[in-house]
Amino acid sequence: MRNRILLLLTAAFAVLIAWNLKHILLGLPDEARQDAIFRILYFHAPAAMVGLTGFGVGMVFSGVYLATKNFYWDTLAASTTEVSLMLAAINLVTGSIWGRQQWGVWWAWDARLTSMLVCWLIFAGYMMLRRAIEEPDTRARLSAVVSLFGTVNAWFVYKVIEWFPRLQHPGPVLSFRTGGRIDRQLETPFWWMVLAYILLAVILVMIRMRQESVAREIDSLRRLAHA
Amino acid sequence: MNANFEYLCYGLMAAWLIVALYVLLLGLRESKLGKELDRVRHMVEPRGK
Repeated sequence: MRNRILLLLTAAFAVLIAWNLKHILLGLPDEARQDAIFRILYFHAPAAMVGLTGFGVGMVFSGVYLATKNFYWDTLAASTTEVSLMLAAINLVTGSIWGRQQWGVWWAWDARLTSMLVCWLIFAGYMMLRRAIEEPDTRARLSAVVSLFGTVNAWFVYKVIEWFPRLQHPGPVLSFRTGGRIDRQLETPFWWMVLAYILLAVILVMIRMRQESVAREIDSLRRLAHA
Repeated sequence: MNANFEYLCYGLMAAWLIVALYVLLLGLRESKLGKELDRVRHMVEPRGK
């Protein structure tokens, strides 16, 4: 049943991403000031949106683990955080390439970019911490703490362009934050890309969860073998 | 080629490359786990008989 859902989601993702790519690359007009490069927005910003939300969702799963002591939730938290880390990497790298073309530099140490990098480093540390601790309960509890710190930072990344309006990074453009300063023709494909990234994240988290259940089976068989 | 378009291509390639690398990592992990599961099952089987 799970494999069938995974296959269905993958097919939906493939159709959606193919349609989105065609529309974004061939259907949209160039932006007046940025020309063709503005299309990176459709990969850069949804990756951040889904990635940062994923960090928060991971923290909630960690909280459920702390309340229930059921390792399923800890595994779900770790899988969600790992996939979100990959999406945050896409955000950082595509942003850097956009910056090189638009600003002439690969990186600027402004609050938005720096806080995103710090966020990425915190969650990279989260993944390293999980590898370093053998005892499952200690690992899950310490991971939950790191996840909480990281998510507070993720919230800072989201809000910083409102708190510091003079950043090198552009201010908010989406209509739900500005009251409609972006043309609908440019905004609609953005939300389709957000949906595509959500589908991708769900697919990858499901695969990670399947791997974790195999790892648990290996652990229990090992215990049986050594008993 | 327009420099602007060239950087757009770099951006798209980078985004897909990161996804591809992560999927490759998942694939490698999956095959490692599969082999390990087989090995541990063989260890346990004689005890079950």
